[in-house]
Amino acid sequence: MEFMTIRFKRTGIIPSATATLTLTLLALATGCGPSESRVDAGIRDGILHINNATEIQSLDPHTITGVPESNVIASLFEGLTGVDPDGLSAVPAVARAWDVSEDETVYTFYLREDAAWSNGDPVTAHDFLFSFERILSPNLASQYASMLFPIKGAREFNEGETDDFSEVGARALDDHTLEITLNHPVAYFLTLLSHNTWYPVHPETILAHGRIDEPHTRWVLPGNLVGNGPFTLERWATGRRIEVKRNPGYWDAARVHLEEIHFYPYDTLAGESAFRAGQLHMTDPVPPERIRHYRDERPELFMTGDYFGTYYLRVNVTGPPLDDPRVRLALSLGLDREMIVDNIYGGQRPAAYSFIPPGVPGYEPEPVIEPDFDLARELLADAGFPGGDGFPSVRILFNTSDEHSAIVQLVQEMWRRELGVNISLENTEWQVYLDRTNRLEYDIARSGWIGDYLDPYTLLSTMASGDGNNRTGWANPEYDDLLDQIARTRDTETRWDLIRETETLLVNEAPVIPLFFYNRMYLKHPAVRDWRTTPIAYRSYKDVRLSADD
Amino acid sequence: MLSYIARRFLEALPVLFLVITICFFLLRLAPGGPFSHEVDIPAATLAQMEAHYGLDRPLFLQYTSYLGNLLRGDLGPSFHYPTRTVNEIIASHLPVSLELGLWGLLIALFVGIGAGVISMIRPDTWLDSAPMGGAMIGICLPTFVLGPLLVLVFSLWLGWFNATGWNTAGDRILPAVTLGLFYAAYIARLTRGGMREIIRQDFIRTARAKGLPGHLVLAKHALRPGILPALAFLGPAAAGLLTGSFVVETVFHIPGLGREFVNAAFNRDYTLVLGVVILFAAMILLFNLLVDIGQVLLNPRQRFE
Repeated sequence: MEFMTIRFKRTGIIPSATATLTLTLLALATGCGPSESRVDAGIRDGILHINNATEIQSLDPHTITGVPESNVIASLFEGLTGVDPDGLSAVPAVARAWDVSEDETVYTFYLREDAAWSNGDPVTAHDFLFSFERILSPNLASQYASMLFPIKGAREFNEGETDDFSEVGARALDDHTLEITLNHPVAYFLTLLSHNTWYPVHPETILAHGRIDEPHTRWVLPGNLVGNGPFTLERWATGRRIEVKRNPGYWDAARVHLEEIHFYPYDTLAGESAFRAGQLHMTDPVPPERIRHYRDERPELFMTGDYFGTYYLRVNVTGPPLDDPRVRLALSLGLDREMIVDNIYGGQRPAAYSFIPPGVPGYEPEPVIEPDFDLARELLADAGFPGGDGFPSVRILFNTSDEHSAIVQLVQEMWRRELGVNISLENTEWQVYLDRTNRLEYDIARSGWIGDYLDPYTLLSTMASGDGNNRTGWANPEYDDLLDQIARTRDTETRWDLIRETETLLVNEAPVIPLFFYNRMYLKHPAVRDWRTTPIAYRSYKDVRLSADD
Repeated sequence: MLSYIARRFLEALPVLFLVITICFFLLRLAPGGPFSHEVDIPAATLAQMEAHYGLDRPLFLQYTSYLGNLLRGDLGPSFHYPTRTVNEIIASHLPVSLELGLWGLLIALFVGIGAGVISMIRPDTWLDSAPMGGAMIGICLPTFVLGPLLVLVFSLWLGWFNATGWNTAGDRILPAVTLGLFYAAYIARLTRGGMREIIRQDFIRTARAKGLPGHLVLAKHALRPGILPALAFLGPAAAGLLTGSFVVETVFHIPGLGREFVNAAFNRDYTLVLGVVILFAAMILLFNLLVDIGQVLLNPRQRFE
C-alpha cells in the first residue's frame, strides 16, 4: 500500500495552520488570564460579587414569586419595617415608629420625612396606598396578593367583590402618617411588613408605563425603575449579571458601605466553580457533594444559618393503603433521619421530628415523634401488613434532581430493610411533578415548603382542609378548628401551645412525613464582613462591608 | 444557480410551516403550563394571567393569531420573563451562541481537517493512530465531561481562565475548545476516510504521474473532494453549533440561546420555545442549502438540479 502514500513536506499548509491556531490559543491563554481576580478587585472597589442562582423573571415587588428576585429587590426597595437578624423582630425602615391600638387591629405608622425615591421624590403614605391598591387589584393577577389579606377588606377587593378601594382598611392621615386596620389581630404583622409584597412602588413611574393594574409593563427595566432602597438599578444584562449601585439619596446611606452589588445567575455547580476561581465573594447553596470538603478543609469559607423551611414526604391519603393513618405513621417512624442528613448533607442540616423549623423567636421546636422501628412494624402488622406482606405497590414521586434522587433512594432502602415494604421510585420533570401532585395522581411525593413570614402559621395553614397547597387529600376538622383558634389568639403562650397541639396532630396523622429542616449553607469569602441572614427571604445589605484586613 | 436557490427556498416554506404547526400544538399537550407554581394560585388570578396572554381563547384562534403575528415578525411576549419579548430574548442571546459556535466551528475545522489529513498521509504509523485515537476519545468523551475537566485544569489548577461567564476574550477559549473538539473528532475521521478514498482514484495517480509534488497533489486535487463527507456532516452540525449548545452553555454559564431554549421547555414558555424552534429550523434549512451549494462547487461531477 506504500505506493499510494503521498510525500508531504513539513512546510505543508495544514500543519502550519494548526500550529498557528494552537499558538494563538496559548498566547490568548497567557495574555488574557485575569491578572487580578474579580474577587480581589471587588474588595478594593467595594463591589460585592454574589451568586443569585438563576436568571430573574422580574423586579416588580408585587408580582414576583421567587427568592432570587426578592434578593435583588431587597437592594432596590424598602418596606415599612425591616427584620433585625439577631432578635428577628421588626425594626424601623420607611416607618420610623408606629402605634398599635389596644385591640391590636389598628396600626399607625409614622413615615420618616427623609425617605426618598431614587428620583428625589419623597416617599409618602399616599405611595403606600397606591401600592396596596395596585397589588390587590384583580387585574394585576398578583400570586402573592393574599399576603395583604390581614388588612380589613383586602380580600374582598382582591376577589372583585368591591372595586372601591376606600373600603379597604388603609388610609393616609397625612403625607407621612399611614393607618392600617386589620380584620383581627395578627401576631406577626410587623415582620410580615418586611415582605416584598408590602413594598411601595413609585406611582408616577408605574403610571408612566401603563395603568395602575397593568401587569408586566417595562417600568422594571434599568433607566425606568425608580426605587426607595439603599441601591439603584444600573444594569440588567440577562444571563450575565445585574448591577446595583449605592444610592447616595437613601435616608440611611451612612450605613451602606458597598459601592455596588453584582448578582450572577449561576446554578449551584457553576457558582461553586466561580467561587473557587475567584469570581464570586459568595455563592449559595453549596453542592451537597462538596459540603464535607468545605466543612472539614475550608471551614473559614463554609457558613450556615437558619432557613424557615421543611423538607418532607407528602402522602396521598385518598386511597389504600395510605388512607390508613397507622400505615402513614409506620412509614414515618421507620425512617432514620439522622442517616439521611449525614449521608446527603454531611450532618449539616437538622433532622426533622416535627413540622415547624427552628428560628421562630419564642417557639422552640420539640420532637413530636421518635423513630421506632419496632413500633412501626407493629403498626404495619395492625394495618394488615405483617412484615410488609401484601403491601401494595407504592411509588415515591420526585422531580429531577440528584439531591432528591439520593434522598428518596435512602428512604426506599430504609423502608425495605426495616419494614419489609417495597417501594418504587418515579422521577419526572418539575412541571409534570406539579401537575401530578395537584391532581393527586401520586402515592408519595417528595416535597418541601419555605415559610413566607416568620410564624408557624405560614407552614401549618398549607395543610388546612381544601387549601390549594395541601395536595394530599387530607382533611381534618379538628385541625382546621385549631388553625382558626391560632389565628384568633392574642396571648403569646396560649398561641404557642395551640401551635404545638396543631403540629402534633399533623405529624401523628402523617399526611406529611417530615425528613429534615432546610438551612442556609453558603460559601463566603472572609473579606465579606457583617453579612447576616434571617430565616426568611428578607435580606438587608446595610452594614455589609468588604475588607481584606481583620 | 439563482433559480436553484429560489426553488429550494420555496420548498423550505411548507417544511417550516409544518414545524411551526406541529410544535405549537405539541407544546400545549405537555403537562403543566407557563404559570404552574408550587405555591397554589387562586383560580381567578390564574384566569386573569391566562387572559392577559390570550390563553383563554380557543386554541385554534391562538394558533391563527400567532401565525398572523409571526408574519409581521413578532414572536410574542415571553411567558416566563414577563417584561421581555421573545424577539428581545433571541436578539440578546443569539449573538452569544453565534460567536461561541463560530469559534467552535473554526476549531472543529482546523483541528478536524488537520488531524484527518495528517493521519491520512502516514497511514498505520503513530501519526495516523495518535490523531485517530484522539478523535475516538473526542467522540466518546461527552462535552459535559470535557468541559468540567478543562475548567479543573485550566481555571482551578492553573488559574489561566475564568471558570464561568462570558465577559473577557479569555472567557471564549475553554467553551470554544470544548465545543470544537467534539465536532473536530467527527470531522477528522470523516476527512481521513474521504481522503483515503480519493487518493486511490485515477486522477490522483495522473497528477502524481505528471510529477506534481506531494503537497500540491494533496492541496490542489485531493483535499477538495476529500472533505466532501465532512462537509455533508457540517451542514446540520453548523446549525447546531451556531444556535447554541445547551451543555457547553450550562457548564460555562454562557448566556446563549441553547440554555434559554432548554430552560424555556422546562418552564413551558410556549412562545420562547416556538420562537427558537422556528429559528433553529430555518438555520438547518439554510445550512443544508449552503452545504448542497458547497458540494457542487467542490465536486465537478455534481450540477445544480
